[in-house]
Amino acid sequence: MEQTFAGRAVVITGGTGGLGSAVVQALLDAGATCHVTWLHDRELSRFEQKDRATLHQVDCRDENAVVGLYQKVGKLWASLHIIGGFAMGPVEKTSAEDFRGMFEMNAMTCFLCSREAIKSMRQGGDGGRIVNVAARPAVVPTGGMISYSTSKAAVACITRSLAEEVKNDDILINAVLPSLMDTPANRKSMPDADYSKWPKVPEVAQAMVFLASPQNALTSGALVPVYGKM
Amino acid sequence: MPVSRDDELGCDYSKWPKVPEVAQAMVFLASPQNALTSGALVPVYGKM
Repeated sequence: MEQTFAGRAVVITGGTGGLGSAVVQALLDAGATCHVTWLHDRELSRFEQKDRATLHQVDCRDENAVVGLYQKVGKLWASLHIIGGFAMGPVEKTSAEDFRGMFEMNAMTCFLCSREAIKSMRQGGDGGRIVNVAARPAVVPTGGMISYSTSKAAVACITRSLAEEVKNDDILINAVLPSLMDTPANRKSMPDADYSKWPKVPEVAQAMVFLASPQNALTSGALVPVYGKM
Repeated sequence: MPVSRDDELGCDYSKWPKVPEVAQAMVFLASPQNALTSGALVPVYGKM
């Protein structure tokens, strides 16, 4: 693969997960220096690229911890914010705690990491790229998951608002909008579904890596659908 | 793009998206590496 990321440092939050590790693999193949956050020990045992990435144990909901992460990484080309969670349930069974929890996990992590990445990229003076993970329910009304949808709508708004705020700094900020992805967990929860139609994780990763690359020279503030046939 | 420049308007050309940059975005969308994105209207505004 072309070494489009050679000599470039990239932060990948949630890089040990299903989508995260596919993104890390694609970035390593393209020559990037990868900084991956993790939180729980169980993440490390499943993370195949652990010897080729720099690992940082960080709770990305914690403001001081995120500030410390970006200080430690130093000069930064791109920051991909994959950490997040999913929850569903009818609105009358959704508690304030459920709602707050999704907001912290999806929106707060995205906000804090975007802020610190922008700070670092502005200091570096060579621009940069941020890629967030919103979701289709952020733009297409979807019932039964209000706390998830709302938190991902915040991610979409962070993406578009900050893209506008930094457009003169050569920092391009975009988000992908996954629908369902073909992961072991999703297959388990929907055993009768037609998996062949489900977007594959490495395909979503490819879209994210393009948006994070220097080859993306103009696109910013975009919410990019990665629905495939869904 | 010479035809769309107008010196008398005092435009800052450095901010204008460059044609090869727009081409790069189109080539990615046309490539096999784009496996999922369809129906998207992709902004290539740059600093405009």
